[in-house]
Amino acid sequence: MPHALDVSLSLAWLLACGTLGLVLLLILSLLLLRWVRWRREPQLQAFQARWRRLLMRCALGDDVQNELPLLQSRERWPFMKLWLHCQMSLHGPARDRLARLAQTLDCGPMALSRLNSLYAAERLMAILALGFLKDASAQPAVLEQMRSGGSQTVVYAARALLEIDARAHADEVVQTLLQRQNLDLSLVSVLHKPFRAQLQQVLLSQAPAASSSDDQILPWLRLARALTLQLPAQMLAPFLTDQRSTDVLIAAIRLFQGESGRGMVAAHARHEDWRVRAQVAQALGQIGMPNDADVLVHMTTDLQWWVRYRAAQALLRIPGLGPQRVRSLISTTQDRYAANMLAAVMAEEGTAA
Amino acid sequence: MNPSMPPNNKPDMQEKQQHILVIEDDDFMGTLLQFVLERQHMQVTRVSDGRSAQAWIDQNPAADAVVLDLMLPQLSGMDVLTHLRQHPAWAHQPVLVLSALDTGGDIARAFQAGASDYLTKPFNPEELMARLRHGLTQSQGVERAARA
Repeated sequence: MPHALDVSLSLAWLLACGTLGLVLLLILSLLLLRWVRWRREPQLQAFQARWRRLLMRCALGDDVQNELPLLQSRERWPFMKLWLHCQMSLHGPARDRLARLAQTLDCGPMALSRLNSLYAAERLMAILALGFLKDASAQPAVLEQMRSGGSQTVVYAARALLEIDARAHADEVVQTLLQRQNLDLSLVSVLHKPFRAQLQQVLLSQAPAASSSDDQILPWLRLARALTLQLPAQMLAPFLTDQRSTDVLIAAIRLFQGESGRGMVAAHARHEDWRVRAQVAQALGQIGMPNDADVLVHMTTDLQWWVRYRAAQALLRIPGLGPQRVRSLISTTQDRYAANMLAAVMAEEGTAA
Repeated sequence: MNPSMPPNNKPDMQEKQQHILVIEDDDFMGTLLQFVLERQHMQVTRVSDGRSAQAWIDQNPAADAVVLDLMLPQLSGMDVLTHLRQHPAWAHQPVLVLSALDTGGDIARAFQAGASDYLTKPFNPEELMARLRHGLTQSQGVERAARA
């Protein structure tokens, strides 16, 4: 028995020492990494200051070819990051000048080699760089990334292909974006902003028919919203029937713009799913007119908090109503939840009654 | 036509150097704007958050024009714009909003808050300068008319 106790104590002691040793090792590694970073910081800053200025001068049209310092191999990737930052900040002829500069510095092969990097951030940057370099020979590699990459890679590769040749790739990009599930649509919206016009044109030509299934309609509506496609109310009408799924209804309501579709949107104010009702209230806040006040006042008495909240917001946003009129309209409901919600929204928006 | 944007010749000594307040939180974008403006012999003051911008506006004479980002830390660009327009010395200075926000609603709200012009990011340096110069010329015209 005492022997077993001795073994347990020794084991506990060993474990404690081992844990302490590992913690010390971790702290030392962190300190070492900080020290390395601290040592490199001045070099990095000097590098950035030198190259930033050159890139900016190049972007504005100066001939900097004869002033380019030798780019060492360990500097190539930091340069690429800086160059991409510059590309993403500017548009117009400045971007073509920057592309020519990077071609001179032979950045294409480096970007191609990083397509297989273990780090996702590096792969995505390499894809974008190939696009901004406008190197047609990189198209097969980027196409492959778009066809087989993950949900973010697809969006980056699509942007790169559009940069290389928007006319040639717009169709395939739209097809791919429509087919991919779990697409990061906010990323699509941001990254494809410069090519919205071309993509919108293709998307419009592929609009689903009224007889299409919800599985076909939903990705189309979501992509249309990400690309800020403006559609006439009549085109959206077939997607607003009661037979459609909740997701399709919500996606279609989000696309309504202008007052002509108000009636179609308001028709779903009593939909059984509260998410549709909340979306109706939100949409009426953007496209509604004083005639829609009755619908919205009724919605402020909804059982769901979100519906009441959106309806109160919408009432205050409708042109021509004003806080006083809204308050008197709400008082007719004699619903204290509606009155409370209106007071909360008015306080939130700093609206004087 | 040369599409590039060469540095402006030295301004006439009689001509007052124009002072531009750049309110931009992204260091790279701020540096880029400063570079573009200084190349045209403008004096640039850079501020990187909404609260510092508000303090700067309160404590300094009005700049000739402002380049303003909307998504700023601490205080939004829209709040800075509203504050600026309430300040008598800054009420009529041209404010060019330079923002990544590009929906009709964002642009309308910026103009309602008092923006003189709106440009979306990424931007074209030539366009930025043309718009800024237009704003400065208009504001000088208004000033001259007021004095007359």
